[in-house]
Amino acid sequence: MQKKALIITGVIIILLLISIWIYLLFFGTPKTINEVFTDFSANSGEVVNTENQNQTETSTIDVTQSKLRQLTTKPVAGFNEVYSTTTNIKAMYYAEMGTGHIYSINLETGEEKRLSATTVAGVSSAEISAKGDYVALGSQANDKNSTIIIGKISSDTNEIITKELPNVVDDFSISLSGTDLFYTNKDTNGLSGHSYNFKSGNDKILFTTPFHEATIQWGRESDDTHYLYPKPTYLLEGYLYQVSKGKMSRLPISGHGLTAMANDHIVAYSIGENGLSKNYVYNRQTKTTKTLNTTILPEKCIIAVSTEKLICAWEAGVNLPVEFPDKWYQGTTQYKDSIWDIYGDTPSINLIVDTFEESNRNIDITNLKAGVGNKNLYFINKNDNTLWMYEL
Amino acid sequence: MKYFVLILTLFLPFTFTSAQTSLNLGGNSELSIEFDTNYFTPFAEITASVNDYTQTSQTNKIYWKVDGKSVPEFNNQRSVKLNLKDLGEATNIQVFVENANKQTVTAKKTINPIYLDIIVEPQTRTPSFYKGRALPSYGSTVNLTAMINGNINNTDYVYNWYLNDVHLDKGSVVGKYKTSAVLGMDDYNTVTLSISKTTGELLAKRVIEIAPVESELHFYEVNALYGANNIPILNSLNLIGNSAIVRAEPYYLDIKTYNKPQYIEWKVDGVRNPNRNNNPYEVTLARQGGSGKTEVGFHVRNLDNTLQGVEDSFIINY
Repeated sequence: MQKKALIITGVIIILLLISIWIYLLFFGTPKTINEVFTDFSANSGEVVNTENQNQTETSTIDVTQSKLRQLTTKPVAGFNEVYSTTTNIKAMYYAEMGTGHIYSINLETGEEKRLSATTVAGVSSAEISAKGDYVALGSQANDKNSTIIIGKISSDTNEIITKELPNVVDDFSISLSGTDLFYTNKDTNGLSGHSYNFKSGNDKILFTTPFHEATIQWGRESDDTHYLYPKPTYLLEGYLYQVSKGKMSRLPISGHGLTAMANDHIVAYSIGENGLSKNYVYNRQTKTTKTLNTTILPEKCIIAVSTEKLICAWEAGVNLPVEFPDKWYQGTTQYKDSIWDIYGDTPSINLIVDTFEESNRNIDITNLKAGVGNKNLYFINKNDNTLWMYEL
Repeated sequence: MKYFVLILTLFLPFTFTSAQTSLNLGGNSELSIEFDTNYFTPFAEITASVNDYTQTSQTNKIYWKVDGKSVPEFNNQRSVKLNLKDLGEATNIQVFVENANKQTVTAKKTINPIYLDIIVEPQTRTPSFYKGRALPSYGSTVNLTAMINGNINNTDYVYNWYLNDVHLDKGSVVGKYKTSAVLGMDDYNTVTLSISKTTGELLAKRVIEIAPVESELHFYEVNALYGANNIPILNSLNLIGNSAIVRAEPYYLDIKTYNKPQYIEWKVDGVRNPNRNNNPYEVTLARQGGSGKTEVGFHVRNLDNTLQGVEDSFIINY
């Protein structure tokens, strides 16, 4: 009896192994190399073929897949959705990290085109105007000393006409209308915020501060309100200031590790309290403060211009380290982000998308931006600097 | 002479113009209001206490007025809690003390809320891609900046800066809204700032603590085209091609030590590596054939201040 049972068990095991082998043979074999190996191409470097610089390089990106999709495999220094009113076509313009080459992706056909082959060494950040006519490239070839190269993008040539700003720049952005470049400049007296007009070349000082290290939330245009606070760190206190019509004033927001997003209605902010990161929303009309259930980090959030609404990226249920946000800036902690709608007046939050569930990729969102009419969200995955979009 | 006496009699009471005014309505001594803080921020909750220790007769009744209105729940309370208003909105507090002789003495104070921000900017190393503020380390220099209500005042106010009770700038200085200090080796350093008007009236006094940290070392792989990776090497690096450039980033190392290190070295498997890279914080690791793993270490230190230094290592698999 015992021998018979042994034979039956053996036969069952053999049949089981054969069926697993057949399954793996026909269904389990990876179809592409990407299913087995991580894509290391992001940082593998690229040889620039100078002989082909006058030829237009095109390729096609699949833009008709799921709502969450990867737009580039190249690391991206900066991007903007550009909307042509004449052709009624939306395109994504982006600047490649390291080279400063400008590309456009037609968001309807997926066609990718290189618009500029002008190489700017060491480009680590970039801003592109909403009309797609100007680009500002931040080059940190000398580590701390960042220079800004301004380029005029033209459809007639695949080169950009460049001009270097004379000042050493710490932070920069382009106005919504695309006419001005906002930037900060450090000198021995502190930090000054400037508005540089692309066409006229006029440079206007928007504000000055006696301290040097500031996180800036630029207004849409130079006459709008700008917000700033000392760069965040968990061990030191930060204070929120606003600059309106050239006058700087203090808002009633402060705390260790302060990070904030503000508009005329609310200030959403995160601070460290008793070793924990706490989040609040301050109503500027009622002067009341309520608790918020998501972390506010300018790199991961956008705030509406005239309502109490925000969109933020954050990993659900994660316990933040005491040293937040320092560890995230170092890169020693990473997150698998979800994107959330936040209603600051309630305040309440609603999930838009869990990026890991949707893509099965670890996406640590930074440089979150909304497209024209808030129909698309765009962001960079901090892990490999690739550009992604989510269709709202 | 009689005119002089008359003028003196008329104007003498007004020479005591300060935030506090004390009126004697029949008592025989001064009365005062004291607070639990010297720094009155907008919307802050403060505690006001009556100081009647100089009163010669027994206190029978105490009552308070805030902005001219009586507050019944404060009756017969020696200390009361109240919230200040917004910036630019004064709060008037008045206390009345009735003694055994049915005489009433009163004291009054006007509080104008103020924001006195002390911004600490440590002069320590962080890499260019780092978006946070540097942290202070033991023996490092910090820059301190004071802002009043979001602005600076360099003409009307007298600044007194202290680090651990040692007067910085050798005394009080008009308009000294910025200063620097070298932190000690203790786990906590205390910075005290008091700002007065040139008349001597104290405007605000703040005390903040600065806790230095030890320097941290992180290694980042550097791509010749794209620059440093956003994510540091966590324990080990797999060498994919023939070579890799690795940058050591000594976070929070005093900037003077970073720029002119007295001791700096790379070690490969415990052997000092004669680094020929232009940047002493970067090393190029090239494959020499074969496979295996090697420990790569880095050490930087100020030999005059040994706490200003850091060392660590990672494994490279090739």
